[in-house]
Amino acid sequence: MKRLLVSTAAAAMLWGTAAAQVPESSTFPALGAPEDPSVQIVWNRFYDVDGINMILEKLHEAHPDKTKLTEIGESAEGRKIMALELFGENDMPPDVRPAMYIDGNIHGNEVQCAEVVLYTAWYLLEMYDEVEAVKELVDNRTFYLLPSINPDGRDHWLHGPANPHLSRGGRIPVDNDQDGQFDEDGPDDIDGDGQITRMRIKDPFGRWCVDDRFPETLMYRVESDEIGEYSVLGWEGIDNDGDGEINEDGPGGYDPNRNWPYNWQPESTQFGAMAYPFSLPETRAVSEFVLAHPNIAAMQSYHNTGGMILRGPGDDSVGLNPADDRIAQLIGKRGEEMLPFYNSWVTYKDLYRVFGGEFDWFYGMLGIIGFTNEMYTDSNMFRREAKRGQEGNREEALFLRHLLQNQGVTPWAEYDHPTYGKVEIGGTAKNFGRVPPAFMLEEELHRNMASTLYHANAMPKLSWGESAEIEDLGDGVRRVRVSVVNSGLIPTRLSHDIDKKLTPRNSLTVKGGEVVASGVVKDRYNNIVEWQKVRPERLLIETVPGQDQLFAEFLVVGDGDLEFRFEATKGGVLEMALRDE
Amino acid sequence: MKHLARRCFAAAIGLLALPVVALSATYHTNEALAAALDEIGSRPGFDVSELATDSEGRAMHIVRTGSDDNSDPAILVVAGLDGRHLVGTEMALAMVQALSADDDAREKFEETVLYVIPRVNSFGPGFAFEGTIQEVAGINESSDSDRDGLTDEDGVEDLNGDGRISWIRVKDPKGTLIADGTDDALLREADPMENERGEWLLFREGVDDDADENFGEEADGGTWLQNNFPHKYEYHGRNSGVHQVSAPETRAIADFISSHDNIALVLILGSNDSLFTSPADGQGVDVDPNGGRWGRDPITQLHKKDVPYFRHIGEQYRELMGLDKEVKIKASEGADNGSLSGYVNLMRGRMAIESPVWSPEVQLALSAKSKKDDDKKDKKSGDEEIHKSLKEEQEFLDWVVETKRGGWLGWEDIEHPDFPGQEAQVGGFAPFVKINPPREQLDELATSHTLFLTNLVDVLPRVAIRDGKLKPLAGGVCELTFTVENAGYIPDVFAQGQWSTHVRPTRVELVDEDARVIGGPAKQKLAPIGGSGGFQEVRMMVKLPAGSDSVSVRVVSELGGTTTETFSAEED
Repeated sequence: MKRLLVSTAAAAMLWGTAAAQVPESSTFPALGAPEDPSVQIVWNRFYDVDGINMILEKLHEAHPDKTKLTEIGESAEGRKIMALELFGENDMPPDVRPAMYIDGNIHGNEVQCAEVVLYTAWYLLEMYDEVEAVKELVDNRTFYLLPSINPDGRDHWLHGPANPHLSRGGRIPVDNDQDGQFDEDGPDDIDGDGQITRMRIKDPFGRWCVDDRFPETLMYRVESDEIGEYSVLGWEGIDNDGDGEINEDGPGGYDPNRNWPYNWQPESTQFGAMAYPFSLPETRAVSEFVLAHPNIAAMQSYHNTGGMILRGPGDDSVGLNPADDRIAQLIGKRGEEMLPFYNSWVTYKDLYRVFGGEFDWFYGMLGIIGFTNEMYTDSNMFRREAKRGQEGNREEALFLRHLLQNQGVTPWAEYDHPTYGKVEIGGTAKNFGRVPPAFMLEEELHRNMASTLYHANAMPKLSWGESAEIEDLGDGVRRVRVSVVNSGLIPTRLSHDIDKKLTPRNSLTVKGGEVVASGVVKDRYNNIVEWQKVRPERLLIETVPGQDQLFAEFLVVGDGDLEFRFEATKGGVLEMALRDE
Repeated sequence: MKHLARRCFAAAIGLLALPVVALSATYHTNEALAAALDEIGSRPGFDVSELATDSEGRAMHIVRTGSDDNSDPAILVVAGLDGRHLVGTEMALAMVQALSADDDAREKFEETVLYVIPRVNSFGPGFAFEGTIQEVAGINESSDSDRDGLTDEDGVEDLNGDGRISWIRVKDPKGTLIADGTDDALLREADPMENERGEWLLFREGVDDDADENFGEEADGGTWLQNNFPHKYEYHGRNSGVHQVSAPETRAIADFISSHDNIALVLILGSNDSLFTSPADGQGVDVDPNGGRWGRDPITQLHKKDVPYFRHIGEQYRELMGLDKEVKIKASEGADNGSLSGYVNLMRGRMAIESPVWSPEVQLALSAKSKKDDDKKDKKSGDEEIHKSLKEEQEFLDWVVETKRGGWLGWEDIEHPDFPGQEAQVGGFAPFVKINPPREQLDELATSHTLFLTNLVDVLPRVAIRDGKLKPLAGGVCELTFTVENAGYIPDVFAQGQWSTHVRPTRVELVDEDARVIGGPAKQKLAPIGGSGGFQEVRMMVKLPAGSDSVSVRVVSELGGTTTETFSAEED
């Protein structure tokens, strides 16, 4: 059905007005986006926590049979942490199907990471009726989507003065400078432009000079045997507590992505760890939600920046089991193809050490492969490998000048600073450098989502093998062989899960006859069965490997139909009846 | 574990006629403890409040007494993390009761805050007094420790109907143990190198409910709180919990410690020990405690600089206990994984010491029985010698039998349904006997532990200001010099405190807002100040407000208290 957007109930759901002016009969859809979405969302901007929650509610109202919207907890400042459960049509209940957990924005300043989760929800719901592959995915899997698990950090970054890096953590006060006061001296927006830019001071023995090509933004450091014109004084701020230091104890001062239990280490080893794992209300709320959903079989968290598809471990004292890492590498490699200039990396080897990071918990203690996409890379500015150092800075300045007409630049201007005297304040806006500009944002969201949907498709996907074999052994005993197929790439239990006994073993239960023996077929051609020692009617199975099938054999006394039920915590449930013919 | 304990009278033969010897009335049930704390809370100077609701839905209480000034140093006593360890609770309660009855002792705490959490785990003690008496270490949680997808399917059972869960031994070709000791009462591992062949299996009283050839594998409780803290946490451990600090009880303690910066010392009365045996001389890591804040490898043991303090306090403890040397307490492997003391020492940077209060080894040392026996030959019967690995256990058994308190059950034949026709016996040591002393010993132990606690007040750091001088220079500018001294025994900040970054350095600040520090920070942070009169000298230029000729200085030590002093300008 074609309809005028403005003429429907969806009018109230409009997010932006430009599209509404043109009748739909005068538009033609581009591939990759829903033709006729019931919720219109503009993807060239960022939404604050209220905005995110409104979008989630609209999506839920528009798709009540495919979604469940839950408040899983509150942030330190009382903002809601919302989870949207998304599922299609299937006899298996959503909390039994293999599920993918996706969150964003654990670092408050990494804002586009919430939009990508929202975009994923919107895309899956609005494309469900248009694209068969989306329907197939949504019908067979459940998605748990949490756009912002650090809503405090997000809103303070969006609404308060900030630079690209501030408001990374949450808002629990921390005495970072150990002076007995909490959060008493953060950066200040001295020039009132809504940004925390930089301060410099004229200095006859300074080490910095203005870059002649880009004087509005760039400086460069002089050679060691040269003398410059300026000294750089750091981020905009004053000495709020009069202790002789500037910006030494700003709001918060910790890292929610170091507050997860696996390989957690305290502050002495890991900055921002806080008192103990899950001591923060936000991480605790997520942990309770995740622990209540053991069907989660894949995990994705979104961060910025740098163009990376990161996987664990965060530290080499714990490892990814080689068999599991091979699967993670395959998924990461596909992601690299979908995300130009992104690198599929191992965190501790290729980036830095992280103790108590989020995806390490998912893998190490829950047996789930997880990725962190570090969204946005400078290489996307000119679609070539970004340069480093001063050359890289010049590319940024060039991009600002020619593609953004220097929007987002605060020209250097003089101010009286209470401690330093005459200083100059200027630089680039908080939303330049780590988040893409509007015209690149939608592409960034779509490509990242696509890499994550590939992972979702890789989750275990179970079915019964083509035919069961039944052999009459005589004297009323039947030998029954059935198989379970996993067409997903990921096994029902990872190697690490089996090794550390993280989740219950899979089970294959038979009803309808007296089962006197059962076992997993180790060699189907040579008929080698590993017989289970006890309770043969409930065969325990370590795993069903990815893109493979598992054969099981039962010796059953008596006639009659047989009912089989296969259960895998991360693979779902299968049921089958074998008729006695 | 949702605890399973079923009586299976049918399987038992030759029922013991003895009544169940539950622990005496001087050990406190949960209800009796609540009543005792209620009573203490009614006394002046004692505040009893609910720190948390535990996983059983009961109130977890904390007692506060001593100073009501939160800037004074604090001692926290924690007992009853392990559900089997009842004596710790008795000591904690007795300490509080003794202080409430003794004005002199309470005066000692005039400038010290005392917090006492007498019982953390209320689930385990429930099995010490009524129902089927049995040792339960953990809290009440469903458990699928064998990961078969079924929960709680194999608990323990009272096979002989004597009202308690003791031990079963079965003669079986798969057995790895051999009987030894007086009347073959004890079991030890057979040594194939000595051509010994194992004969016996030993397991907790019960049957293999789920026919998986394991006995009572889901009967040992859910999370063991004493192993649920972050330091050296055992990932994927059988009883370590779903993650660190996962239980409401451990979370309440971690929250309390991390939100009460003045806690300088934590005394843990529980299943681990650092007092009967002190950390070894020369033990400890020797890293620069100031080595940055990020990316350092975790440390796994006490700092070398701090160890001597632990040794000295251990000596004091043993002396009060009437012991002239260290007593090695046997601990099962991993008993100190995820311990509260590890968390407090190495992750929060404060001092934590711990003692089981009593143990078979301590008992033998106290009764000096081992000395007497050294004179004799270790005999089994006739001239045959007892194997050396059983020497202590045999001595303890002799002591239990001599004291006639019913702690040794002997071995009684039964028919075990999982081993039809095989020789099987029920008995051994009664539950709790190896963990908690007879009630007759509680008073004496309480006296020495209360004295120890009182002495700990003198251990705490105490900052004081001395030798101050305010020397006028010109125009209201003065040179201020003084010394900050630590009159306590331990430093204001341990090396492990510096390393942890969770103990603030002692700082000096001016009280008068109109006075100004010239050419230096308004808050001066001091390097660590050693105990027993250790000191740091302070020198600062101060501009006094117009018309003033004095300045007040405040010294704030996180663990050593706060002190203020006023100096008047004086010419040389």
